[in-house]
Amino acid sequence: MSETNGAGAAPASFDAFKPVAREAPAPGEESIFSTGSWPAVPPATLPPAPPEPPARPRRLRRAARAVVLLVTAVALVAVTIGVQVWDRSVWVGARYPAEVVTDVPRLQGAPLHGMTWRADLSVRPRALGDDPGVTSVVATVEVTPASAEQIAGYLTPDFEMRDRTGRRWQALPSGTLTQLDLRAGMTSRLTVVATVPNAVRDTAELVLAYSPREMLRFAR
Amino acid sequence: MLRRLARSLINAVVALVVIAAAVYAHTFTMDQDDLDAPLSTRAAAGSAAATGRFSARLGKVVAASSLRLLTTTTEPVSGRVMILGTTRVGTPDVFVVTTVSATSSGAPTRLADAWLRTADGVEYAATDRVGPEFTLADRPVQDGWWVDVVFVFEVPREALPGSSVVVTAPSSNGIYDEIYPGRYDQLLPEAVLAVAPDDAAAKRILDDVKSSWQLVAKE
Repeated sequence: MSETNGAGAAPASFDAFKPVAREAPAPGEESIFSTGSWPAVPPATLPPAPPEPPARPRRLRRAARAVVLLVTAVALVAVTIGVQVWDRSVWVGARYPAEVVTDVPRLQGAPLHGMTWRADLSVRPRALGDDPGVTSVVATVEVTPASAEQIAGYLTPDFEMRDRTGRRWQALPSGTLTQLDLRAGMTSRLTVVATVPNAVRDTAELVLAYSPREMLRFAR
Repeated sequence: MLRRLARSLINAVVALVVIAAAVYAHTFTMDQDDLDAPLSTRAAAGSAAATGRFSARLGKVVAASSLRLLTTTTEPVSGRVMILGTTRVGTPDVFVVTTVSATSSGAPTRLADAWLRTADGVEYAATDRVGPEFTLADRPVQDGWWVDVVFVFEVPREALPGSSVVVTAPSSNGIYDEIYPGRYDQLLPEAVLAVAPDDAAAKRILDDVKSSWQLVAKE
């Protein structure tokens, strides 16, 4: 059976020319494009809008954000300054290295620069005209080269007297010991003289140094 | 929407302002003169100026129109002092012979450099016409006792009112001062010791100018 759309249904009678009874819209409601009024459509049921957040949590959130920003800013500044301080301390540390001092027990020897060093300190008796507040300390320093190669590289080290509070006093060799004076395995002597305050004449120690990292401190 | 855009704009402007301020803050750096400026400690005549590395006080101040430099030795047997040589040094201006007592705190130091600084900031170096054997200016200044060093300045008379002796310790930067001259701040301590704080003091010194003042070197 062939069927076309609507072919089987009895067509409703429709007279396009028959006027339809319509209610006139209320004045002002009708659009100029409106062809007539339509039955009112009930409004769609919209989901209820979320309630406005109360004012207090919003302020709290803002305050929290401000605190986080502040802490971040402070941390950034601290890191910036810290990096510069660290960089400077590395620079200073590389050029002014911390001292490495080897303590030598009393009347014992210690190796440094291929030599064995030993020192014996004594207080010089007071002479007429000496400053009453100071004392001369004389150190006999013995140096024994390990080999001829070490003698070739020998240089007179620096000497000074120190106490354990960080005070230092000049100590000068009274003579000169050159490479020609040294023999491998044989002990040569050098006299070092220093002036120190009376208060430390028995406690100040002789320090022998080639560099800040090569130092010997002879215990009294 | 508009409010969010405005807020973003404000944030961007604030960030730019902060960045600009940070960059501008980097212009607040010390120039070379500021970096080289020493840390001055002042003291009136007779009182000590204590810097971090040394303390100094001004003792005797003498003005002289000439200096007699005596080189002496002591005979070991008899103990007699013998004069080995004499030199006379004159000036058309005036020699100001100052004795400075000094002590150090911690490490030995030498106060070999000294200036006479006038009231208007002109500096006169200690004269090189008198050797260190006469002034002992190169002797070490050490912790625990005071030593006297002499500085001699050859200056015009009008330089004295308001003048000071300025003593400074040498740099402790070692070889880096020579490798990178002007690169590093020194912050060297200096003691500024008033010689003639006012016209009256200067007048007292200049009214008593010695015709000759003797400095002795012992061999």
